This record gives sequence, C-alpha cells and structure tokens, in this order.
Amino acid sequence: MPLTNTLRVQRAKLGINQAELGQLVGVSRQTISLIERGDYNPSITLVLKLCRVFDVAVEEVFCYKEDKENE
Amino acid sequence: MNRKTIFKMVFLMGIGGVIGIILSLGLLKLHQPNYIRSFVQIGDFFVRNSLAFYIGLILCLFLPAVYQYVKAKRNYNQINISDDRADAYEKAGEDSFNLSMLINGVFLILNMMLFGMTFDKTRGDFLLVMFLFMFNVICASVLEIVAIRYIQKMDNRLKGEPTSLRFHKDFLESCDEAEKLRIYKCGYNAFQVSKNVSLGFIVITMISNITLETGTFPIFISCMIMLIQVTSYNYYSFRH
Repeated sequence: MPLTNTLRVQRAKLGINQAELGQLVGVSRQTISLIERGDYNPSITLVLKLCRVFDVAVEEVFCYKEDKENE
Repeated sequence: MNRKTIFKMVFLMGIGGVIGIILSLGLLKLHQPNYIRSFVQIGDFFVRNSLAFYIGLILCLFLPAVYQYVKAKRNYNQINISDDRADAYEKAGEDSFNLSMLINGVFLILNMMLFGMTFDKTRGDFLLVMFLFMFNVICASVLEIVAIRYIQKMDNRLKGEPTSLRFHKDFLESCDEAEKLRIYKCGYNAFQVSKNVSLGFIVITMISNITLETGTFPIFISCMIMLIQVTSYNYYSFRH
C-alpha cells in the first residue's frame, strides 16, 4: 500500500499500547494494529483523530508514496 | 465488446450447454426403478435412524463447535500481554471463533434439514424426535448468543442485544470503520457466491423436473431465492 505511517513510533512516544490508543480514538485494538502494519488505510476522520491524540501534523504520521508503476 | 470477450462468452455458453447435457443424461440414468428404489431406501434409512442422526449431529458438530469456542476464549484471554503477541493470539482466537460459529451454523441447518426430511408424526417416538430437534436448535442458539455476549464483553464498544430483532443493525452501527469494511466485503462475496449457487440450483431443478419429474415447487423456491437476493441487493443500492 502506498500509505506509510509512523503510528508505532508516535504511540511509543506517548507510552500507550494499541488498545489504549484504540480507546482514545474510538476504534478496536485490531484496527490500530492493521493501520500500523499498513494493511488498512484509515479514513480522513480517523487520521485526524489520531493526529489530534499525538498532537502532531498529519504529515508527521502519514506519508503517501506513489507506486512506481502508477507514475 | 471486443472479439475476445464475445469468443469467451460463446465458449462459456458452450461449456454450460455441455454440462447441462451431461447432467440431463446423468439424471435420466437415475430415472430407473433400481435407482429410485435405492433413493427410497436411503430416505427410509434416514427416517428409521433419525434419532441416531440427531445424537450424531450433537457429537460431531455441536461439541466441536463448543470446543472451538472455548479455544477461542482461551486465546482471546491472552491478548493483553503485549502488542506484538496480541496479534497472534487475536488471529488464533478469531479463527477458532469463526470456525465455532461456522460449525454451529452447519449444525443448526443440518438439524432443520433432518427434521424436514424425516418428519413422520405416525412413528412411535415422534415426541422424542421433536424433543431432540428442539433441544439441538436451542443449544445452537444459546451457543451463538453466549459467543456474541462474550465478544461484546471483551470489547464494550460493540452494541446490540443478540435476542433482539434489531441486533444486526445495532451491532453494525457500533463497529469501527475497519470492521465495517470487513463486514461489507464478506457480505458482498457471500452475495456473489450465493447468487451463482442459486443460478446453479435453478438449472438443476429445471433439468431434474424435465428428466425426473420432481415438480415445479423446487424451481419456484430456487427462483424466489434468487429473485429476493437480486431485488434486495438493488433495493439497498438505491437506498445508499
């Protein structure tokens, strides 16, 4: 998937686990795990909620990289 | 439509025709007194031994379903150790949970099938058969309710009373976006599979009516199932 993220790093900075982060943004632990592994692209709403929890800009957490095939 | 697509369509139609001919010939072969007698004997065997089949269903399907549910619970209870290992436990728990619900569903359907196929109110142990059927259906329903309540207890975001008619709506609304996406994907794939299977059933019931004179009722039922599938899908596509 072209969307990469630093969710695990940001979470480690806050010192919370996946379940706690999930509770803060209203999703399951499994969904946080899927996002961290890059297996699920979150909606804009969830991205903004996550960035608000980490108190950082979207670009610091999520990065969109074009696939070479699509260029 | 290009030439390749047209060729592919004609080819698939040709294959369908060949399968139809083979199926018809096969069914015509079955339309002989020997085979008919064998089928009647098999039917009688099911009726005579229905009690054993009910007990067999409990042993072969319900107990494994309970075992898988217990296994799922054991895995889910290990989740809060660390994030890295939680995924592995969650995956194992989910697999066992889904397997448990699948086996339980099969158990419920086979019970209904057995009851429908072997129903005979003239038999002496009719009340016992009725009791076993009711018992099995209640067991399957209780397992499903208990499993859903356990999942809800584990994740208190998930809402919906399993015994309520609104359960599916409330449950879906309480799921997060990734869970909803997964449900929609599963639902769409299940719809496609069941639509193709319904089409297959229509063809089989039509051919068997022509060759074995099985009657128009099976054709009516299989067509109704497909009609409901297609119309309900389109109804919801208009709404959303």
